[in-house]
Amino acid sequence: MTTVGEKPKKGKGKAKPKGKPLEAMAVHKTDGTTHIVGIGNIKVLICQDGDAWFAQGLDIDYAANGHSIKEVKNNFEVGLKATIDLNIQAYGHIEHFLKVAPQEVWDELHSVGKRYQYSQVSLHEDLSKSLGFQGINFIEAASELVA
Amino acid sequence: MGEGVSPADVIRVFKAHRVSTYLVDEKTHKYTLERDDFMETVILTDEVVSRYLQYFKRKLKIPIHHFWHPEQAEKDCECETDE
Repeated sequence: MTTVGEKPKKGKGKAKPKGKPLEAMAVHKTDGTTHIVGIGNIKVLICQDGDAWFAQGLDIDYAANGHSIKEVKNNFEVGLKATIDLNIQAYGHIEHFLKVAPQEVWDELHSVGKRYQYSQVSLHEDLSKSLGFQGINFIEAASELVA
Repeated sequence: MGEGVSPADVIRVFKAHRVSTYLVDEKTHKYTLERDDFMETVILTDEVVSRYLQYFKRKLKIPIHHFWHPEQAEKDCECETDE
């Protein structure tokens, strides 16, 4: 099992401060044949570049582009799931993939673009037969934060 | 902004840098890139923008001008192999 990030602290009666982003985390669990991967609360920076849009993960160094915000978000989500699937097929784990974006990308967070937070849980099963995304159970979609 | 750089050009550059690539889906422009411990599925739109190339440059250490001059990339990489 691979776990990255801290467990969210259980608050007793204390409400979380409004708007404070949750800790990013990644969890990988397997029984040898079935892999469950959870990616939680990763921050994604979205910028416009000419006619195109660019989405760059901050907690995980992964990016995608598209013609609109909607498309770039979808491309990011689909590509991220596909990359996790490929890493599990090739290496049996996702550790190579769990790299934080470099400082220059983080520096852009407060200067340009919009950001949103993204979480997913995916099920990777019967990997030798699957080239597509069968078996992935998308549970939670992106939620918009204030730019 | 990336005019003149086609997905085919990008693949040529990747191949020159020993990044194995294949097109998974022509409709969605989904590519898989693999080199040593790097494996990633990326979705490129028709117009491969400069920012996306910078991403590859940073991650794969590919000189960005190679994307604009794929022939040069092939030549440079041949020279590196010869050495």
